Amino acid sequence: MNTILQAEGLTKYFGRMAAVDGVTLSVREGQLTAIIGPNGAGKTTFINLMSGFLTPDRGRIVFRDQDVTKLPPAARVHLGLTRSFQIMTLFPDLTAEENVLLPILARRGAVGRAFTPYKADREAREEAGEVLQRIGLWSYRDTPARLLSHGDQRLLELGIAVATRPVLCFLDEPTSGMNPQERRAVLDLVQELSASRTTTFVIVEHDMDVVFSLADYIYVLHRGQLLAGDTPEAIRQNPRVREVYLGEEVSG
Amino acid sequence: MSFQVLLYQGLVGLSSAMYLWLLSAGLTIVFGVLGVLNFAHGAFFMIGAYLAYTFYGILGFNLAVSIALSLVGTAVIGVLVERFLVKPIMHLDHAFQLLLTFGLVLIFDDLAKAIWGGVFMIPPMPRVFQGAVWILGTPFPIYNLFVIGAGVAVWLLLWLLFEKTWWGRIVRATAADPQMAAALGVDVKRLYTGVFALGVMLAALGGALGTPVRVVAPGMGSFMIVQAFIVTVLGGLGSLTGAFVGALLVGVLSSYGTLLFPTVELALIYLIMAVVLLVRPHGLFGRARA
Amino acid sequence: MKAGPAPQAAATGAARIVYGLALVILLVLPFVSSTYTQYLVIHMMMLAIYALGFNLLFGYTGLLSFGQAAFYGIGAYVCAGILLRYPSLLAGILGGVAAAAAVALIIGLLSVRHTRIYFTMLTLAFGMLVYSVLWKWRAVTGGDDGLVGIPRAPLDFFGLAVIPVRTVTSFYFFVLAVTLVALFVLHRIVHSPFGLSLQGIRDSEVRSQFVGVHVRKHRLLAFIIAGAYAGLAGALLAPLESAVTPVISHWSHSGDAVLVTLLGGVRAFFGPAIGAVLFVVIRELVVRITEYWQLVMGIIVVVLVLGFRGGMAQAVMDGWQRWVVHGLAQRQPPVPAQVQAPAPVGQAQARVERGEEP
Repeated sequence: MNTILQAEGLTKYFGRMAAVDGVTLSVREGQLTAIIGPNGAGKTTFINLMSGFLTPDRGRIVFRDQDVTKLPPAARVHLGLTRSFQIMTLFPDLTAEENVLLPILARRGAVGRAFTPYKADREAREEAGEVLQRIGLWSYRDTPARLLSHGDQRLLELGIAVATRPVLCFLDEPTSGMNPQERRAVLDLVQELSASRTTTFVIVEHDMDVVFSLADYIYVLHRGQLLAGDTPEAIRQNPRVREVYLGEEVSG
Repeated sequence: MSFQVLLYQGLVGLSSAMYLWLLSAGLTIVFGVLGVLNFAHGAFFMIGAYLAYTFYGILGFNLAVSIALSLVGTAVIGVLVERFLVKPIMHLDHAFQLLLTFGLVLIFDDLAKAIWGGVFMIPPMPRVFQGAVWILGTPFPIYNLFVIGAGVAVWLLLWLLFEKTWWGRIVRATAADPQMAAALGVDVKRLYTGVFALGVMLAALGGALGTPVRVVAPGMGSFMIVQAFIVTVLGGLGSLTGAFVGALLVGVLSSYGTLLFPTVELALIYLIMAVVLLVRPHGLFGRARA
Repeated sequence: MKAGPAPQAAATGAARIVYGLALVILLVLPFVSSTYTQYLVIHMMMLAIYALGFNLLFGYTGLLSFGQAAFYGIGAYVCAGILLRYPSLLAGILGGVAAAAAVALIIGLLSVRHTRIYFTMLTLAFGMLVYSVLWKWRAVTGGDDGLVGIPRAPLDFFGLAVIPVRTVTSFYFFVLAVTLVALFVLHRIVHSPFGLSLQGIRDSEVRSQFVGVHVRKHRLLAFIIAGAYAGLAGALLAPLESAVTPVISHWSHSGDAVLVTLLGGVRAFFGPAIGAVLFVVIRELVVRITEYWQLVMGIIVVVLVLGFRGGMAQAVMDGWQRWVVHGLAQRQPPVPAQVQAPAPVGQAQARVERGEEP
């Protein structure tokens, strides 16, 4: 398996505090990777750096042998590097179908077209339909996103990320706030897509059951630094990891 | 171009900047605390001017009394506007705030025309302010010097108010986190009304101070409000120092502009703003916000 | 700015009948009414073009520009300048539109990198900049007297066909044709993938970036199109009134575009057109009663913002939609709104957009 994503010495300061401090890690193609760590470990900042939402103060990001450190988010998406959001950022007034259609159109390079109706792009609409069916929102395709239930909105969020057909997709706490059925739906989808080798997922999660059942590889962040990176079994046994988690629980 | 001419022009710029400063001060305070961008703020400038003119020019009251009365009158109108028109739109998108207050501009301008008629002449200068003062060999009208002094004094007083007084501290806390302030027992609604009244009075003061030297006309507020917006944005939304510096910059540069580049003068202020925003997207003293 | 759901397809059938009727009325009008009425309707159509372009920027892209009058003025003056030297209506109109679009490109490049208030303030400032140039540059623009004696030159298709439009009626049909073309083009744009991307940008700038949309570029394009439409409206003014003055570029005239759009409805495609009709009608009626028509307009704006935030077309459409969907039930009604859900998305989303941690 080859490495498709490499972070080298990634550092980001907020004021004088380093939210991410010299993190170096790599993600292998097809390897479902999880990033865990206690609150404030810098996980979300790390994703923000990797996806282009923030620029690092130091360090490099290499995606598929290309240095993407300076690239804006839209450009990274076109290269196949995407993310989902912990706080949902949907298109509230667009229908569920339109929410999913937009990334598909963008991916196909069609968003520049100003004279043909977007509804006429049959291939794109079929693809959008497939995505909606995959996430179970086909019956809500004409409903404005803001009218969907919370759980459905999270599913739609995932649908949008998937619709960009990413090579690598960061999922920022994809199951937070979900009930067991919804959680199951999301995890099944992630597993399915990961197994079919279409997308490599990197999941940031709090829920240890999710992490240990899904992940092929786990990285642990603590106070902005990389504490450990290993297979789930090894992580479970890792004394420093245990100390950080269990020690935090006892004292915190 | 002698030194005296340059000095005179600079001083004129300073004094005209003060009217702009007073208008902008109110605008930036209201925005900083209530988060409302008020297009109709210039209307209070106009009302202050009209009221002061009515008391001083028509009814013959003492200038100081006239100004004081106009402040009170405008404050009353301001409180009514705040209670019935501003409160409902406070949580709306800024676009809708601008739209509603734009509607208010239309209303106030026409009302002023209806109540007071057309353009007014400049009333006579009170005796105590007549004459000129000699600054470095250049004669400069006493009243203009007084206006400069008044503007600076207002800046100092506002600084004292917000930095050193108990009320000022509460206002700043509420501006930063209104929910927390409410939870701690601050009557946020009354505070907002008070701050709005302060902003309105500052605008009225700007208008009223101009009574012995400037023409009063409907639409004078609308004319100034665009410049005030630019000054406020230029200085940084919510920053009093920014508004002060911005007003000085615009006033003085416009004054020199009239002298040196008369055709371009009007365009100058807009160019200044465009340039400043290109270099510092949040204004000279502004922070990322809104 | 979330003014209500987008118009549903169920209402389109009935809507089409209404629009067809409107078209018939417009075609028949000159034969059943006075020159003055035709003149008024010409103004309505020009105002509609102006406001429709504005709404592409405001309702569809989420950018409030208070400086559209600048492009209106440039369109008018350039067209006037051309017509005074080379009496071809086609050249004048095209020249006006091109000039307005070119200036929109420049101003847009400087403005779209900013958002919300700063963007609005910049457009306001640039608008007044253009106004002051038109006012002060006596040599070229005629100063506050403006340009006069502009001929209502014939429509000259490069010598192949020459159609005179001297009479009000013939000019009316010309403007009607232009308006229909402009409407058609804008309709295409709005329903295209590009149009969808603009709405995505309005709904969530961050999300748009993260689905691969180049936000700044698309905003700039929308700005240029809006500027071109404003320029078109202005270019039509020159031969109509045979005079142009700087006041048409004043920011209060920028406010007219905003007002008209608000009157008719921000979220409906034809909203600005309906608003244009309402605006002219109200003004004509009020002026007969009192000179203070601005006061009346102002009151209407205040009432609209406080009450119907979406404008009259939206209010009518919502009511109509509820009636039609309820009655015909052609599709599944939307899931009952979970009222809590929207608020967290909005606030938290706003925080993400400002770059703060959630």
